[in-house]
Amino acid sequence: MQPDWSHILKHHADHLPHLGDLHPDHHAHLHELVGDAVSRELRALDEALEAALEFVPRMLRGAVKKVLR
Amino acid sequence: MLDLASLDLDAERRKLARLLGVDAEALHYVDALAAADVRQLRHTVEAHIFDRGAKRFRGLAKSTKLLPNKVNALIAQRALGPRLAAQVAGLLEPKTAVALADQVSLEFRADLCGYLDPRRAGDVLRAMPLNIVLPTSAELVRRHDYMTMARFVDDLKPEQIAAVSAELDAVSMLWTGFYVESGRSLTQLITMLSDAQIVATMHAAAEHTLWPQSLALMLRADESTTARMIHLLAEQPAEISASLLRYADQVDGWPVLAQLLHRADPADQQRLRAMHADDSPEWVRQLEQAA
Repeated sequence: MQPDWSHILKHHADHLPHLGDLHPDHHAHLHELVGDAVSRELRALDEALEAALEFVPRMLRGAVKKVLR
Repeated sequence: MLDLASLDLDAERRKLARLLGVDAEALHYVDALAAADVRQLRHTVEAHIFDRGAKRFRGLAKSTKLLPNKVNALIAQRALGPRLAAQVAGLLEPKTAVALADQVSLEFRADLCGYLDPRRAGDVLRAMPLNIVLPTSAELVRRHDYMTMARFVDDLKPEQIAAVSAELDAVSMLWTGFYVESGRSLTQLITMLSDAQIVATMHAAAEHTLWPQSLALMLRADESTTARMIHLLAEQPAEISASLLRYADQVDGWPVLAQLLHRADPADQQRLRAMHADDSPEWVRQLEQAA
């Protein structure tokens, strides 16, 4: 059975090239690698955003404290 | 057998491997696909990652208008990190992006370039002055990050490319050219090189066994550029073209060489044949047979 790319790439899966020439095991391996990479990238972006949201108020609080001292 | 398709596929496999965080050898099976398909897969994955966060990236780009550039640069370096900053960079007004690029460290700029998608950041990249472009490219070369260098060749302005290529050593030029996607951009890049720089790439190819990279440049450039390169090759000492012929013999690259020679001036073709006719008649015969 062919792997379901829409789970990983949503509507972008429609733009995938024809991968049917790959051996089924290789197709599955590639699917797994792409899934891992996408999850990793999105998680890293989420973490960076969280870090930014925490950093800005901390930085502003620090700047205000410095002015008030 | 060595041909342009296998060279293109090799470059695409390496790029996909980098995106997926694996060794290129782990993707040996993509040989069953065309290079264009492997490229399309990579572009699809990149587009998906961008689209998933596009709304937040736009929000972050807008928020840069609320704070002074020094503060934005601090947030980018200390909090966003290069991965997220790269996604936002392409959405900034070019003027703002230049001001921010000027405020962040060279290391951060080079890190960011590794994640930047030039297809989404063309305007921003073209707005970058040379005092930002040159040190950043030098840092990328220092890191041997030629894939990132190549991604920018398609999107930078000719004067930016000319300034960068003037600073590149021969090995960096070979690897960067190898990874450039568009044949037209590659031709433009090689056209900007002096004869001495092109000759240096041939000597580097012979010294460091970088003939696949050199051949990829010759095959993907337009006919007149290839003819110029072969003319320069024919002017070099015989050991340089002998090194190329030896490589062709090892990888069954005779059809590729015949294809290249077909684009060359007949006088250069004759000169190369005559150069090796006595010492290596078998190579000359192979070449003529392939032609």
